[in-house]
Amino acid sequence: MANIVDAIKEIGTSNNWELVGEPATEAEFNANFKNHDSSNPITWTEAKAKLDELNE
Amino acid sequence: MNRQGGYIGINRTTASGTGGSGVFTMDAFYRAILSETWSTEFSVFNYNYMGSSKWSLQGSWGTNSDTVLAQSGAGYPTYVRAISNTSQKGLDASWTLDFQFNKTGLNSSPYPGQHLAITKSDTSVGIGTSLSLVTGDKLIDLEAGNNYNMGINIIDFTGSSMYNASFSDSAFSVGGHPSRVTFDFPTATFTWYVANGTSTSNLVQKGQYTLSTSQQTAMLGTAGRDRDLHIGVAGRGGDDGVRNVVWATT
Repeated sequence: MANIVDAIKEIGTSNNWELVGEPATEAEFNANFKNHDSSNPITWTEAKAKLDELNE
Repeated sequence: MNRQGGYIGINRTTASGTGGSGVFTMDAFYRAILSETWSTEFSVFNYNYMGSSKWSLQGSWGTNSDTVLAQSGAGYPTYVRAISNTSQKGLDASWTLDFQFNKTGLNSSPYPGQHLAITKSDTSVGIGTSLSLVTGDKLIDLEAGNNYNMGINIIDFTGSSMYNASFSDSAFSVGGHPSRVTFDFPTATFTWYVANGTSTSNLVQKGQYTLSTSQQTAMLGTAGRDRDLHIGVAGRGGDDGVRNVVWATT
């Protein structure tokens, strides 16, 4: 089963980012995800949607 | 001084994980080096001369090179695994891991997918097809992928991801450009560097993570000291893989 890290990797391959831990909520995501690519940000909504897609 | 096995000098025992100390002359030290009886077992792990008995291989060589670890085959299903032949107690000291991915992350088929991982198991199931199938076995997974992507994933001893960093840059993701991971003890800090050139003087910090207090308790105590760590590599076949791997305590 995929986790949120897998989902972010899936959608953020061309981005520049850092993530601490495995956030389970939007608040945790916002606190622990650093997007270094302002032109192509990754959001919690996008990551969660990808996670659901991976685990379908 | 611990005289086990006829060593001259310090010989940390595998069982206790503790060190020894002794007094010896420079002459004895020099003669021990000449006779190759000086123990570097727990001070230097230099895998640069691949293909030697330092590496225990599973799978098959892609290139049969003394310096390149790569897998054969067109896809991920096979893999090469390299295991330290001693008990590397990797989180009990500062260390530096140097290597170079062997292939540029070109956005062209066949897409590159090269991994180097430090694992905590020497079992055959420790490394899967893309080094991502057995998350609970990995401590660090470094990847060079398609579209000049490079990444690091640091995982705790239970399989939970602690830190990820990723970027895409054609100036960095080039075959032969140095990569480096350092672990600083006792601050418990991992730092990841990649070079935008062919020299280690070109290294640029690309990520850093310090273990939290609870993580330090869990990983730097007995569990960390007694943990054997190993290096594994995987690639997509042909000349994917890594080269010039040197893993040394510092």
